[in-house]
Amino acid sequence: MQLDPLTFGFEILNFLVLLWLLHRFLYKPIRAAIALRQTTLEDALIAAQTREQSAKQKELEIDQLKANWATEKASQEKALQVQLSEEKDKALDKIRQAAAIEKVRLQTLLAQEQADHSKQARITQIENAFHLVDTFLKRLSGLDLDKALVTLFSEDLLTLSDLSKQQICDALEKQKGQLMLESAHTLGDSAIAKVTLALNTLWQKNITLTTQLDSSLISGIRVSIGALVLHANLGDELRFFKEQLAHE
Amino acid sequence: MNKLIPKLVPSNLIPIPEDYQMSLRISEQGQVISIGDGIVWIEGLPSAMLDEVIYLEDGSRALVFLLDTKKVGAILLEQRTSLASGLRAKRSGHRLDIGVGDALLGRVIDPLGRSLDGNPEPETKQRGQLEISSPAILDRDFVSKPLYTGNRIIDTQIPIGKGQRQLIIGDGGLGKSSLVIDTILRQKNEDVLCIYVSIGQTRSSIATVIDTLDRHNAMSYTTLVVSEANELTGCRYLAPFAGCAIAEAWMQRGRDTLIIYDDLSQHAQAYRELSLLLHRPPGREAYPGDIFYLHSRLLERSTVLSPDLGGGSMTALPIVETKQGEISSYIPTNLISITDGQIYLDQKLFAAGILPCIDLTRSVSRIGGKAQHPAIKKEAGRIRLDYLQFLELEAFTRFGTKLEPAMEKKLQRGQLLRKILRQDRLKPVSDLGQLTWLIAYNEQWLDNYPINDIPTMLNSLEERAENSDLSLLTPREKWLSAIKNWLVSL
Repeated sequence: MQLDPLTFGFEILNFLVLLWLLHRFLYKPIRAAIALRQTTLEDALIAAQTREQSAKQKELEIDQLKANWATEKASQEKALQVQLSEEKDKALDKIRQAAAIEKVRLQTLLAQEQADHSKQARITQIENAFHLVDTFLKRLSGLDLDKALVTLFSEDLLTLSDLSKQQICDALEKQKGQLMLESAHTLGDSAIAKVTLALNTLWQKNITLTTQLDSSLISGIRVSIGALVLHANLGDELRFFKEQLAHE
Repeated sequence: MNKLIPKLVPSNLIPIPEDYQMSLRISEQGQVISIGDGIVWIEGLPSAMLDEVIYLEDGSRALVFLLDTKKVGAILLEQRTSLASGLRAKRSGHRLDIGVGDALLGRVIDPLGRSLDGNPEPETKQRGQLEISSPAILDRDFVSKPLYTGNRIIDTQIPIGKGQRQLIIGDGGLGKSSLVIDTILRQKNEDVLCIYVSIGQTRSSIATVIDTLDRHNAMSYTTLVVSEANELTGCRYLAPFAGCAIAEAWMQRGRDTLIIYDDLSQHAQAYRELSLLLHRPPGREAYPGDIFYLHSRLLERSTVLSPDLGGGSMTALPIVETKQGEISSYIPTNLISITDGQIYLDQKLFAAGILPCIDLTRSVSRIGGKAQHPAIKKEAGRIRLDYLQFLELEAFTRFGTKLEPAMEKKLQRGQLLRKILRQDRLKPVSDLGQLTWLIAYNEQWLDNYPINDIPTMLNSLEERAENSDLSLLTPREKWLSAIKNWLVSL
C-alpha cells in the first residue's frame, strides 16, 4: 500500500477540523447540558433535603399534637364522665324528689279516701242505728213514758241556769202567758197540771195552755212559747243528734 | 277530718258526751212576718247566724243574709206554694252544703244539688259547704303545669296554668262562652274535670251548651250547675259557690278541675238585688260595699294544692261582660285586680271578621311562660313581639306609604300569622298541633303558600302531628324533618 502524504495530511486536517467542529458544536452544548443537569439535580437534591427536613419537623409536630390530643381527649372524656355522672345524679335526685312528692300526694289521697269511706260507713251505721232506735222507741212509747218525760220537764225546768230561766220568762211575758203544748199522745189532766204548775212557778204568774197532738214526738212533750221551744220528747232528741252527726 | 272544712256547731247542739243523760232542751223558733221578691223576714231566732240554713214549716228553705235586732232577713232557696207569713221557722245549725263527688259527672243540677236533666237525683256520698275559707298560703303550690284551651292565641301567647284564675272579658256576643266551651272540649283525655256554672242565662242558651257538650262527648267529664234567669235571686247568687264547692271536693281529692263562671256580672247584679232588698246601704253603682269581697273570696279558692294535701288544682275562668268595651267600669276592674290575667275580646276585631277576636295588646297572663311547656315556650318566644310590630306597621300602610323590602316582608309575615291565629269554633288544637304550626311558621315554610290555603294546611298538619309518634319532648331536628315531609306530601 502506498501512503499519500497529502491525503494523509488532509485526513489529519479533516480529523482536526472534525474535532474542532465537535468541540464547538457538540461537546460544549453537551457539557453545558450536563452542567445544567448537574446543577438542576443538585438544586433538586437540596430542595428535597430541605423538604425532608421540614417533613421531619412537621412529623415531629404532628406527633406532638397527637400526644396533646390524646391527653386532651383523655381529660375531656374524664370531665365528660364526671359531668355525666353529675347530671345523672341530678336527674336521679329530681326523680327521687318527684317520686317522694308523688308518694306523699298519693298517701294523702289514700288517707282521704279511707277517711271518706269510714265516714260514709259511719253515716250509714248511724242512720241504721237511728232507724232501729226510732222503731224501738215507738214500740216502747206510751202514757207511762209520757208521764216520765213530763216529770223530767218539770224537774229540769226548775234547775235551769238563770239565763235560760230569764229567757223563758221574757218569752212568756211577750206572749202574755200564751203557749202551745204538743204531745205524742193525749195527756191526762195530771200531766197537764204538772206542766202548768212548773211554768207558773217559774214565771210567778198563770199561763194559758193550748194542747195539740204530734205523733212525730214519739213520746214526751214540746212546749212552744213564741220564739222559744222547750223539748222533752224522744223524737226531737233523736233528730237533734241525727242532724248534728250528719253535718259533722 | 279535712282541715280545710270548718265545723259549725250552734250553741244548742252539742256532740254526744260519754256521760249523756236526757234532759230538757231549749231551742229557738221564728215566725215568718213577710215574704216578697225572694226574701223572707223572720221574727225571733235570736241566735241565728249569718249563712245559716233556716227550715220553714212548709218545707221551704232560706239562708240567713241579714241579722237585725228583732228580725232576721233570709234569702229564699226554694219556695213552695204553701209559703205564707205566720209559718214557723227553725234553725238548722249548719251552713248550706251540696252533694259532691263523681256522681255529678255528666249531670245538670241547680245550686242546691237537685237534678235538672230529668234523671233521678244524683247519689252523692259526700257533701261540700258552699262557703268555706280559701286554702292557706302554705297549703298552696306554684302554678307550673299548663292547662291547654285549644286556642292558638291563648296557648302560645297568653298561656294558662292549672290553678290560675284567668278572666275572660268583653262585650256581649263576642264569643266568650264559645271560647270556654272549646276549652272544655279540649280537656278530653286530659284528666281534667270541668264544671260550667251558668248564672242568669236563658234556657235556650243553656240547652245549646248542653247539646254541644253532649255531641262532642264532653259530658262524661263535665258537670253543669245552672241557675236560669227566672230562678230565685238567691239561687243565682249561690250558683258560683255551688260550682266552687263541687270543684273543691275534687281538688281536695287530688284531681285537676276547671271551673267556668258564666258570667260574674250577672252574679254581681243578683247580689246587688238581694242587698238592696235587704236594705243594705248601697255604694258605687248601687252595689253593696262588699262586692269586691264577694268575688275575691270565690276566686281565691281556685289554686293548686301542695302535695301534702293531694296536689289537686282548680283553674277558674270567670267571664265578665262589659258595655261598649268599657273595661274600666266597677265590676270588670274588680275582677281584673283579683285574677291572674285577662283575655280581652275586642268588638272591632269581631266586626272585622277576625275570630276569635282576642286583643293581644290588652290580654295578659301573669303566670305566663312558667306554666308553658319549654318546647312551646321556646317557639312562641318572638311571635307576640313580631305580631305587635306588624300591627303598628299595618297602620302605616293605610297611608299608602312605600316601605322597604324588609318591612314588606314583615307585613307579609304578620298577615300570615293573623291568618294562622284565626280559628273555627269547636275545633280545639292539641299541644302537638300548636308546636307544629309554631315550628312551620318560625322556619318560614308557610310563607310561600297562598294565604287562603293556610287553614286547610294547618288542619292537615295538626292531624298528622296527632297521629305521629312525636311528642313535645322529641328533639327539634326530628320535628323539622317530620314537618318538612308532611309539607311535601300536602
